[in-house]
Parts: sequence; C-alpha cells; structure tokens
Amino acid sequence: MTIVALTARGGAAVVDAEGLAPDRLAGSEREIARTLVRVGARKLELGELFSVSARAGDGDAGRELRVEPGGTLLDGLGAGMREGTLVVEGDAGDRVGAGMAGGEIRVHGRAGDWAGAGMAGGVLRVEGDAGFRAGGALAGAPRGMTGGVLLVRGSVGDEVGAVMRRGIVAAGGSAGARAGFHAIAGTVLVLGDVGATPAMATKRGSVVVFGAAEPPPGFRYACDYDPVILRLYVRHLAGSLGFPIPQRFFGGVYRRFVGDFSQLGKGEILLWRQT
Amino acid sequence: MRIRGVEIEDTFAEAFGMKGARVIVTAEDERWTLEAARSFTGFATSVIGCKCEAGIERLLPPEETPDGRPGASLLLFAFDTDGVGKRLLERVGQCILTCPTTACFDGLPQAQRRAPVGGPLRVFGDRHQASKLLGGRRYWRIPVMEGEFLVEETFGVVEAVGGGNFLVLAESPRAAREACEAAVDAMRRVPEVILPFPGGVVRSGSKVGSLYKGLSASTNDAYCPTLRGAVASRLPPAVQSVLEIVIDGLSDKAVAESMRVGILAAARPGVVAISAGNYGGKLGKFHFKLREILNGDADGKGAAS
Repeated sequence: MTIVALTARGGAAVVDAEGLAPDRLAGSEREIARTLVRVGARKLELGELFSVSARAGDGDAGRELRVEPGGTLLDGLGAGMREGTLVVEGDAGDRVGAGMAGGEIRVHGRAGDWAGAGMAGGVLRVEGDAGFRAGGALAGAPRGMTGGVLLVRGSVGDEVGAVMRRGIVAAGGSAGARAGFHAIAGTVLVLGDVGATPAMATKRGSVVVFGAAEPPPGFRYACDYDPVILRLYVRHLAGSLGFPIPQRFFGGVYRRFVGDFSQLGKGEILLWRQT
Repeated sequence: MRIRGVEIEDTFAEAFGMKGARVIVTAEDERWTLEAARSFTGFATSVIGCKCEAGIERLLPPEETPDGRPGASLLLFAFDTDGVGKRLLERVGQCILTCPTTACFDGLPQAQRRAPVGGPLRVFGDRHQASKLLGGRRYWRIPVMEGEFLVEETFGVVEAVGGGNFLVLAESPRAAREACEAAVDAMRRVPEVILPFPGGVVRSGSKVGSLYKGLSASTNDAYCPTLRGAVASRLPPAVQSVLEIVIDGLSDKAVAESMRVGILAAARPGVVAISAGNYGGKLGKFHFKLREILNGDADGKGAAS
C-alpha cells in the first residue's frame, strides 16, 4: 500500500480539486506536487497549496490518500474515484465523491453540497453533516446515485437522493425538504425527521423515516407492517458498514404509504414507529 | 475391525457427484420456521423418485440469520444445476412463499454457479413486486395477502456428494432402530450434510435393476432377512433386521465425517455388523471405505478397492 498525505499550507479558501483521488495520484512526491488544481480562475500546482508526502504503508497494494485541509475547502475531492481509500481529516467542499464508482471515502468533518452526487459504487462516509442533494443529481444531470452507499452520521440538506436510480443513502440526523425527490428507485433512510414533501414525484424509490414525516398528497396509506427488507437494511448498515443505529430501530413496525401517484405510484414512504 | 464388539465389514459406500444448494428460511418464530422447513424438504428422499433430495441441515438461532429471526438451513441436491434450479423454484414457490411470515435467503452466496429463484418467482407479484440491491445481493419483495414475502434473486449451486451410506445389521428390528436413532442424533450435528430419508433412516435399501423389465431399482434382497435361504444372502446368521442411513453432503469430507460419527454411535449392543451399499465401484465417483473412515482417512476420493 502507498499512502500519500496532503497537508494544507493555507492561503486559499476554496480549491477546485476535482478528481483528486488516490487512484489518480501516481509517481513520486515531486510528480504529485505538480498536479494542477484550480483556485478561482487560476491553475496552481498542488505543491503550492499542500505539502506532499508519500510513504509505503501496511497491507495490500491499494493506495490511500490522506488530506489535512486545515481551513481550505476542497471541492470535487474523490470525484470519479474507482478504488483506494481517501481520508479527509476535516471538512470537505462540494461534490466530494461525486460520480465515484469504487473505493471508500471517509470525511472526518462536514461535506458540502452534492456529496456523492451521481455515485455509482463504493462507500462514502461523512462524520458530520452534508449539504444540498447528497447522493442526488448534479445540476443538469439526468440521475443521481446509481449505486454504492452514502453514509452521513449527521444531517443532510434538501433533496437528498434526488433522482437517484439505485443505491443507499443513510442519514443519522435529519433531512431537509424533498428527501428522495423524483427518485427513480433506490433507498433513502433517515434516522431523524424529514422536511416537507418527502419522496415527492418518486417512481420506485423508498424513503424510510425513523423520525417524523408528513407524506405529500401524492401518497396513500397502505398498511402497518414489519417488512423483512428493513430488518436487512438495519443489520447491513449497523453490521458490515458500521453505521451507528439505535437499538430500538432494530424492531418496530412501519406505516407504509404508496405513491407518488403523479408518477408510477410504485414508490413508498415507510414511517417507523415503536411497538 | 471391531468396535465395541460390532464387526465393521471391509467394504465401502459408493456415492455420486451431485449438485447442491443451501436455502436459509426464516420466520417469525420456530414453529413457522419448522413448518416451512418440513414442507420444503418433504417428498425429497431419493432423487430417482422425487427428482431431488433435501433435508434440514440445522436450525439457526436469530443471531445467525440475515434478518435476526429464527431460521433453518436446508440443503437440496439434484443431479445437475438445472435440476437444482427447477426444484428450488418449485419448492420455494409452493412451500416457503405460501408459509406465513417466512423469508428465504441463499446460503451459498460465494458460489459462482447461480440458479434463478426469486427472479422468476417475482412475477407472482403481478407487477407490484419490487427489488432491492443490498450488499451486492438482490432481493425481491413480493406482496402477499399476509404482508410481504422476501426472497433472494438467485441461489448458489455447488458440487456435492449424494448417496453416502452405511447399513446397520442387527439382532432385532428394535436394536436396528435404536442404533440408527443414536447414529442419526450424532450425524445431525455434522455441518454440510443431510439425511434425506424419514428420520434419517431407510428400511428399504435397493439394488440396481429388477426382475421386472424397465424397473431401475428393486429391494436389496441380499440384505432382506425374510429371504435368507431363498437368495444369496449377505446376512450373518444372527442378523434379523437391517436399516440403512443415507447421507448427502456439500463435500466428500463432510459425508465421510458424518459416516464416521454415525458408525461410532451405531456400534452398540444388539448390532452384529455394519456394512455399506455399493455397486462394485463402477458407478459412483466417491468410495467411502468404512475402515479407512474410522481410522481417520476421511477422504473418499480414489479409495476404491
């Protein structure tokens, strides 16, 4: 394993680091330092903004990129990443992990807007909150996530999972308005409350809410039941993915609402309640 | 060789290559788990007459099942992958889908060869079914009157061994039964095997062929005590009854280990000898030599005499 560490020197508030990912940084420290990034309209070498170090680590032949951003927000970190591990020891900017197809990203802070937007595979973990359209579609994109897992321990902004096609988004806190907006399919789980009009215009998506939610008018109540698939989700998230889920959510029943009947009507909102 | 005075005949069990699948069924409680398990594994004693052989491998506590409910691990065997797939589809569709509270999971997720089960069954949902992809495995949610049936899309199929066996030659029917009961109790603790016959025991062991044309198997007359004197009997003078235990397993090692613990448990007062069924070694790929198994050579491959 090769571990590349980037430590911010300071001096730039926002850096467009689109595609800065462990599987794209090859070569010596000097070569990595020459990688171009954007700051506003200017292109700068990475080495002007970060000190770069590379060393051999334990384990297999994968690559790990560790970023200590300090006060600098890096946009597009890990975008399009296919393998390896990216660790952000602080906050990430917008579009972290956007379009990633494999590997794992761990953000030990907050993430900006469009975290994991359009991701197709891999695991993106955010320890803090995430902004607008986490796991959703980028502006102008035809769909959001098509695979992978986005785990946000904090809260997520509006339109989490918007236009997602497949995959899982889980939020440990609350979600803003329109969670799962226009989702083609896929699953959004929110352990807290969700804002207005969850799952609005979804086709086959599932929005699972363990806090409070108000289904929008396009949804109709179906039944109260204990779907086995939710037992699998809870165990999968808490088990192999290590996402903290309170013990009470391992049981309970769900109120099922089907909709959105402005679309196919094959989506659902599942509202947990304790038995 | 003698164990506790019981003669272990110098012979071997002849077994065949088969294909196997493992089904994990779960339900709200043990009662409904067992109902589904017994229904799924019913009428599956012999692949010749039932198209497959199936049995309960073991019961699973909630902490060992995918959904945290009580469960059972079921094994099903047939001659080829297509046969396993057809039987799985029939039995999951008729015996597990129909059973209250159940869900059904693949117990061999690492297997490369796959048999579609939930995929074809999904159409029972009449376009109201929905799928979820979780951890690389696809599940189908099929709406049913009770609520929702969850079934995995495909099930793994692996190489397996069918027809491991041994015969218990006893002084009385009761002694044969009690020896087999002790053997079955011990063998059911061995993983990766099932004993597909009623209670794990066969009273009607067969030989290949028949005096009747077109009948592929008939009673094993050499071991029928009522025919002693009428046919070339293989029974020692003191033997009044014979029972057989048949074993199917996911590996030859598992079958051999099952035979080993079973023979050790069956060797008890009232049992005269323990033998095994074979076809001269020309039909089956696996030859489990009784004495070698008991000596710790648990691999049946290439052991034909």
